[in-house]
Amino acid sequence: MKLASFLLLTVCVVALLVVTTVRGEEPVSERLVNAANEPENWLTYNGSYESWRYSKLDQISRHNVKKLIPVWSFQPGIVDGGLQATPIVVDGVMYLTSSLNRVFAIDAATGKKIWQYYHEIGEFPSLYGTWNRGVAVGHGLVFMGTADNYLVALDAGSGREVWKVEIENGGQCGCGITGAPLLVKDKVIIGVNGGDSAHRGYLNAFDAKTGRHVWRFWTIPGPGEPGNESWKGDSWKYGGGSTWLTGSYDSDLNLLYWGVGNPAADFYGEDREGDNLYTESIIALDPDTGKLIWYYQQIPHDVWDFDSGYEIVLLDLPYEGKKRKLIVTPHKSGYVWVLDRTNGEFLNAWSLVENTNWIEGIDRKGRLIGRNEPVVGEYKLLCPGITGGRQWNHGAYSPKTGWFYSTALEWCQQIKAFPEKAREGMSFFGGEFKLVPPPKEEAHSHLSAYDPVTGEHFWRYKSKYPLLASQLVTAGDLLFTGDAEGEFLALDTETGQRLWSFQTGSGHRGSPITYSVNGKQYVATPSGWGSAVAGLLPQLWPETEYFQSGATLFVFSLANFGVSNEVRSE
Amino acid sequence: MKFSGYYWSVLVSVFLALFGAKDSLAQTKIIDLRDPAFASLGAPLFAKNCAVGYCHGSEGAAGQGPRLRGRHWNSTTLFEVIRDGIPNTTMPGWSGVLNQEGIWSITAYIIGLGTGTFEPASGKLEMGERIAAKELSSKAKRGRALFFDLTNEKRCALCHRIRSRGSTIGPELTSTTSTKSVDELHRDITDPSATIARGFEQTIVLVADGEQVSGIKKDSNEERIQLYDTAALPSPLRTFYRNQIRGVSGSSVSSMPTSYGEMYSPSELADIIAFIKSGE
Ligand code: HEC
Repeated sequence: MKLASFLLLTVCVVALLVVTTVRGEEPVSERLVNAANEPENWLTYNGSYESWRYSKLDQISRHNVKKLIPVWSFQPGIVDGGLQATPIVVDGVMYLTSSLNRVFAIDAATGKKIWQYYHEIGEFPSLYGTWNRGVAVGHGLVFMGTADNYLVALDAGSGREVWKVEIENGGQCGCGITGAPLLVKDKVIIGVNGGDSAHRGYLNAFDAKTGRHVWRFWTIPGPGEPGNESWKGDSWKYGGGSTWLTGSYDSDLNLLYWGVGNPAADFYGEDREGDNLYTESIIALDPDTGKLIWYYQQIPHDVWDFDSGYEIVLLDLPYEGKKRKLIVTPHKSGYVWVLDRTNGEFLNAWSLVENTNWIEGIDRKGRLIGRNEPVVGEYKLLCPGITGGRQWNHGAYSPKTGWFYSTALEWCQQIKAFPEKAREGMSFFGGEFKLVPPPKEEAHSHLSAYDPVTGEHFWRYKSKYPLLASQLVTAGDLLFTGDAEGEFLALDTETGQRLWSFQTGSGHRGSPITYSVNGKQYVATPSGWGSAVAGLLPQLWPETEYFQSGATLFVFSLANFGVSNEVRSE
Repeated sequence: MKFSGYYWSVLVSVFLALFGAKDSLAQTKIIDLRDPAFASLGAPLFAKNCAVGYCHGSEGAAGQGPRLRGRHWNSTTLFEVIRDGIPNTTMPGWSGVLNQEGIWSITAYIIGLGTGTFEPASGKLEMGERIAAKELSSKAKRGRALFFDLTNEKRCALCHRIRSRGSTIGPELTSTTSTKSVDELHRDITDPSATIARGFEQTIVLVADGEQVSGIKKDSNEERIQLYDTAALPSPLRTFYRNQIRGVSGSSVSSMPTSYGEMYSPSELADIIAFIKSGE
């Protein structure tokens, strides 16, 4: 007995040693896989590979949130496009990007700038803006995709350029990068925009250390590949299928999940008859090779420009009584899809919006019922419009409440399709639209708490103007987000009650985060109105034309820490 | 009357066109920007190129780009912005895509969406303008498509610039057309190491961690060397700081891929060469 337990102990110790050495070799992936366990940091775009945008920090809570005060702010100096990023925080240093591909390293406690890097933008596509949504950090490097379709790696300590690679000429492809990269092991995974251009989309992996290309997954299969038959004629060459936001990763299954956007031409589908794989799909890839493991196409032959690009939230929850590995993924169509993430099996789809007529519904097998498509040459009322039943800005999941929090947009469009021939790299919409209110009410927006699997909702926070910022939820029972009028808000995660707000002077289109330095919790939010969708709002709310743009990062902490209110006001 | 000033300017323009500078008489045409028929030519062009998606919105209602309807315009400035774009913003110049008449018709269309006050009331159109610098033979057109083919991960444009398009890792090929024969070009493409273009010799950097990187040097100074790592396509531009570098050497091998002789058929190679040689 004794010997046996001694042996067991030895085995355990040896095993532990082995584990530690393995960890030593792969500090990046280990840390990223366990990102949720170091809430002092915000290590990756969506907070964790599971994309919860949830933090275990609870120093700031519903009980003391009223004492939240700004402690520092930071201005990148470019207001065009607002400030849309998710800041990344690693061990007391914040990495922030702004429009025109500026990157800043900032002392996360004081706001003092450590270094900056300005990427010089060359030829870039006209359609997708100069803004940027954030970096990935690891291997001592900071990675950023650029508006002219480069991927850049900087030394995290000094900001010096280590490598950069032009993925495809931005002027030629009509594509570029606004989304944040995802670091998986030794690879930087980076998507591309260009889904509304005559362009063939892809997802790329580069070696983090050298910048060498490792694999490319074409989101539209070429001739001879399975799926190419879902495109009429040569339409696959210019069929869109962008990968413009950031995916998720399941380290146990070793599967990388990414959303593939709409096919092009967006609204005119006759020249691309067929299902148009793998547009409007969630794809699961082997991150080491880029091989497709499974896919699930949410909208075969999309003609509404409904991107499947939004956050892919990984949850392990009971479904019909059995615990399943799930994907919950909101979609521009206003629906949220629930899939089995081991194999892509359809489980459920539920709607965030009340105003929807593009389909009548989705059946038990995931098939769309009663498609209502734009027609050539005449305007038709469709809800939601191209601007979406939800925008890309991300929702959040709290394991404390078990709820998923998301915004939704109640608006419609008058849309008219027209035939259009592909011109490489040029816009390729095949239609025109005007935003209009829903038939029976005013256009508006809401933020709600949902059961992620069934879509049952528990509370609703209403807003006159579209809510276009991401959500952050914390173990302090708080939800942080910002609105179009510049208010940065804290709501109670259980009731939706507005507990605190701060006027930042310009509307919100970015993603708040939280972190801590030396035991003190901070909440940081980009503020700065801008972007394509913000620009469309005057069609419904003329006064929003005069919502001033801006670009400032605000950082808050509790007043009873450090500098007090009194001292400040003197 | 509100519009009388504009009639004036039209008259002046017509006068200038008829009796003004000698060469403009033969080459320019004056367009009346208030002519609804002319403005209507701009409507479909606006819909396809400007209203689209997130840009200026249907009938200029606003989008990512500013609202265009209901405004007061200077026609010349408007024309120039559409033609040239606005640097460092998402507003592209349309001169390479639309001809002058198209750009003027869009100008007239936008003016028509405006407040009714604008100046000047006419535009000047240079006749005989062509968008493409040169009409290519069908062979050269096929060659151009291969040269820039985005679905080919070894396309020439990843390293070569020709007539202002493509990357500058390898030599600019526009000027090569005049100096090289078809045979020489054929050899350059299928057997790159046979001769090496001056200034594009291969550099090898031995890095402190043991890695050996070869490619085309872009730049170097006391602090660092920048090298295109041509072992990968697209080739990353890598920066090595002096304290990382163990040694730098050269090689007589070309950094261009050696596989084009097999990748392309003889007729495809001939097409590519025809394209390279098609310049002025
Ligand atoms: C990895 C980058 C790369 C790619 C891809 C590439 N080349 Fe090159 N090419 C080079 C480099 C570097 C040189 C200069 C060294 C040499 O002369 O071999 C060169 C030289 C040439 C030259 C000689 C230019 C001169 O001034 O002497 C021609 C012609 C040429 N390439 C054509 C092509 C064509 C056509 C293709 C596509 C089928 C192509 N290259 C693809 C890198 C590349």
